[in-house]
Amino acid sequence: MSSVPLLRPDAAPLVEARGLSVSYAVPRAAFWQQKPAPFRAVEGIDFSIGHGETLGIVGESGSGKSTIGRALLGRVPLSAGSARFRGEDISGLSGGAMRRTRRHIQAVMQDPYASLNPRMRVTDIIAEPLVVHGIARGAEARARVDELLDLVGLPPDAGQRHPGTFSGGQRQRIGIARALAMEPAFIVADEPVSALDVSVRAQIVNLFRDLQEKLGVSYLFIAHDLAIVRHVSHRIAVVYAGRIVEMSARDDLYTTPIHPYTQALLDAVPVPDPRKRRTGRATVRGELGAIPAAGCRFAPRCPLASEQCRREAPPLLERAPGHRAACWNA
Amino acid sequence: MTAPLLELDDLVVTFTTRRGRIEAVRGVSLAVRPGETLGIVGESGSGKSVTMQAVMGVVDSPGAVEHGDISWRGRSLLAREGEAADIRGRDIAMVFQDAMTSLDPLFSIGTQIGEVLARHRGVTGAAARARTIELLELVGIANPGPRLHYLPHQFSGGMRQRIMIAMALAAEPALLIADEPTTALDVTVQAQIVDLLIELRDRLGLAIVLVTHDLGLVAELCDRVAVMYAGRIVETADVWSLFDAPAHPYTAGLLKATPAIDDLPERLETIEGSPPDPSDLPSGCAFRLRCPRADAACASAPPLTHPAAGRDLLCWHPEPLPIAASPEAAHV
Repeated sequence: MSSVPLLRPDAAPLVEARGLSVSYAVPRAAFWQQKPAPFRAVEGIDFSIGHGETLGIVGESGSGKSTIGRALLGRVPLSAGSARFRGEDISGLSGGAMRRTRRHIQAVMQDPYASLNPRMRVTDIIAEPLVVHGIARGAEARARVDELLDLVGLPPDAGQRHPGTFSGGQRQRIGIARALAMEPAFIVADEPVSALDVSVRAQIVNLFRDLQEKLGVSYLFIAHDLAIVRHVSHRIAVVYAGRIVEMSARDDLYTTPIHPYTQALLDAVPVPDPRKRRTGRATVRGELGAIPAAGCRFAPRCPLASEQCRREAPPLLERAPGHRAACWNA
Repeated sequence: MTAPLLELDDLVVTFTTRRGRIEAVRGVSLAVRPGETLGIVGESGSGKSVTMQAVMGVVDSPGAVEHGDISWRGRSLLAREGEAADIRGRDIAMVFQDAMTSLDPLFSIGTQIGEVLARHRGVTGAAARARTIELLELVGIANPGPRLHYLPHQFSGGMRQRIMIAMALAAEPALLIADEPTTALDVTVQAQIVDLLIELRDRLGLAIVLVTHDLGLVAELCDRVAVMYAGRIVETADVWSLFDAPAHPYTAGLLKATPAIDDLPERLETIEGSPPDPSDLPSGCAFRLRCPRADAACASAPPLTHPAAGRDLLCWHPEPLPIAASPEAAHV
């Protein structure tokens, strides 16, 4: 487990979310109806990310994990709480201050094809943020692009080609090079390997780790694949229906999971070894559906749910050093 | 050994496009026996889905079966078009990754399952209604009676997948082809659908072909595995031997590159490069440019060999197999 270096716990966090909440307005079903209450996509999210650290966010579709990333990128307004980068509140920034801070926070998205302009040459795609932010132009920008191509493992001639001529894995390398052009301190990576073939996925996972070692960049690594997350993260937060239900150092989550949802997630993952077939049936029934008005949001599917769970939302409490869980009965 | 249900013999499927002729499936032979679960594993462009589309006669235009044969219980499906239409959908049913593409959004689920019952089983009216309710209960839809008139979008993703499976089972098939049936689902829902498939297989004696990229699902569900690369099956073996001792370097690479949740190597092993473009394949073994064991011999096509009982292999330089690696001796 020594492969991912441990962090200095005393260092001030690079990124900090405190009570971070995002709501989306829900349109009326018809004009004569009352406006419905806003949809609480994420609520009361607390975490911090240190320098050179990776926080993995795991959750199923609709859990709000991508919304957390979008909030840290300043792409959605917060309905409550704060998101700080180097101590500065990102959500309060506008105009020039926003631009200055934003260059240190970059994004790598799931579908590298959708995020690369098919009509631009790769050199121009990667150099674009440099030019826009007035950091480099012309020969200087081209030299920087060559450096970046090398850094992400693309051949030098890749710059002259268009994104359509690359495979999925290479396109994701282009996306990563573009994100790195601004020398960010923090990258939000939202399902960056889910669209890739198995044989290519491992290459990109290794690239993320190599870049962190070389550049000291921090990641918020959002994914639904628990095996991948284990390979890239220092700490992991499990999100269910917009709330963190469990958060711990990487290995603690897999060896001593506390929350029944985390346990269900881990039990549900098929292991690529016929000797380790799941024994017994899935413990958690149903799907993430409507959020209950009160209490724990997992209660409708939880095998341990009691009366208290349906009444009162459990707080995220420390159960072991560095290991927090939100559950009344676990 | 029982006679196979489904047999593919040297199947070639091509797509003729403006850019030329693309061979998506390049000579696939396989057999599926009653009650067995066969996994077909491959990455995008490997031809795994097109192979099964050819079995169902639903290859997208401009694709066509150019060579080879597909037979059901020993009778060719390609030679007898009329008969084939009856066998497909009745004896062989298919479920897809995205239930919304196979369920009609404008008709209630009761109507859609009823149609299959009328078409393939001649069951109509009250009997059809009763059977539909039975099928929905079988796949784990609670209280199905009042929900017969629901439209597909009124169900969640996992529920729609169950309904699609119920519809596939309505004709009482002997073989169910499932093409990435859980890829679009969350992992806790995927586990429920896998449980359902196992239960149906055991209760109804179904044979299943599982088309997937997920080696975890294969390990969990399959008896036998065929690994596809660039339109060919490069290795076939029973699931135990394949995971214990992969012989083809591609199979070995895939297994090493798949991170397991309970195993943390320093670095993930990788396969260099990317899956090849089907319109621009290397000569000989299509994997040779990514293969750590390749040499000059690999520029010509490797012959089909049988290095161990029940194992088929297309490779000049396979990984060494353990001696006497009989699956029965090792695991039963």
